[in-house]
Amino acid sequence: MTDTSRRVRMVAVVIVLGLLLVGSWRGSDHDFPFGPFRMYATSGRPSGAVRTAALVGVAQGRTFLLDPETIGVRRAELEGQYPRFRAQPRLLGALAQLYARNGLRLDELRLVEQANLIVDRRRVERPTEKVLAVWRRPR
Amino acid sequence: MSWWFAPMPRSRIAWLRTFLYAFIWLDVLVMRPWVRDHGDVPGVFYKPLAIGDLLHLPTPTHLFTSVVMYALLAASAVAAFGVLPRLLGTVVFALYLEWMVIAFSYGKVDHDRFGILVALAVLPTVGLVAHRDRTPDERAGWAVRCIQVAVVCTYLLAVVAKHRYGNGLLTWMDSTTLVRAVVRRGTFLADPLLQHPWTLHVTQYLIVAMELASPLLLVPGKVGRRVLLAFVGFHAVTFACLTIAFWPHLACLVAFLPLDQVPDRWQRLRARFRRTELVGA
Repeated sequence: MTDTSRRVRMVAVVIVLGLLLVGSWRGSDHDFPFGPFRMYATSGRPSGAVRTAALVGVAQGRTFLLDPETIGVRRAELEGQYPRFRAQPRLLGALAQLYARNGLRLDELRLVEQANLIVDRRRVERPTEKVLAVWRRPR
Repeated sequence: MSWWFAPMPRSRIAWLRTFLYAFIWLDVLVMRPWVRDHGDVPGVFYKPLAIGDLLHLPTPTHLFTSVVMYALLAASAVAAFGVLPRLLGTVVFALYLEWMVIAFSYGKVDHDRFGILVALAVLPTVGLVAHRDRTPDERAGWAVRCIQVAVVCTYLLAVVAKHRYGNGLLTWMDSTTLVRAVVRRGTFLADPLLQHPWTLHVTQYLIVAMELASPLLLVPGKVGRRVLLAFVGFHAVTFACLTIAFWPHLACLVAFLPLDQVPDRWQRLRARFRRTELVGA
């Protein structure tokens, strides 16, 4: 191996490690692949609510939970776009169209947030639900 | 500097290529099948990453996502056999990076990809190598080191992220992050732990200790092997309790194994089986 190829390789190492360090200290997920490794990095208080997103569908008078992954959307992706759904509930209509393509014609689609309560590190009560956005099929 | 270029057998790279390029098939078709579905999600949900903006990458459509997927699968299938390693390896790296951009531009980024992206970037730099060629090579040594360091960085910098996003590392260790994770997605194995939350509290201290100890993976010999086993055990328990596995990252742990010894060990195993059969007869 020549000195030049060694040097080139080490320059690449320094650049990549540098970007990674800066990304870890200052960056965000937006800077992938040099963003921070923030899996489970947030702190939860001993008492509070554990919130998760869910899609609830209504069709022919029946109400049921939907699995977002069947239309290519992960639960965390719903959670990552909360503000947009709140501001533009019609975005849910686009998801309803994807369900329709899968053969499920919905009359209503709700984005809900389920909350499990934790008190002093222990889970209590059954989950509560809050509707964040609603889309209804136009009549 | 000599540590980075300590010669390693060329065959180690050949085996790593076979393993990691084959892993791409598993990743695309089995572990993350939803990435392909992003081509069907309306473009309004697309939130491009910085790299997507920088490289002017297009908003994924069904056709675009399918083309990237089939090209990635085809290139990695051929590359797994060590054919045209520089050209095909570079193509696989570029397509896999684009596949990740398609995956993570919809509001959720996974954090288990750095190791495999580094691996795919450095594997083409070694050039043509054979599975039985055990000649020590500095280029092979550098490539293996890069993957190993990327894996260690993933653990070490996860501590930095806990400090940054968890209001200080001590706050994170005393928080209820694991309790909340179990409430969100705990399996029947993890649910009973909610009755004894101190177990999850202690585990958070152990996780930080383990992540800080990750450079020990780079120590040769017994120490490195035992630390590697401990990490594999940790990931197995995490999967059993939360059904979370950082598959691409786990695939890169293979870079710590002496893969060049695969043919010898396989021969020894076969010989042992044959002896057992003869004794049995």
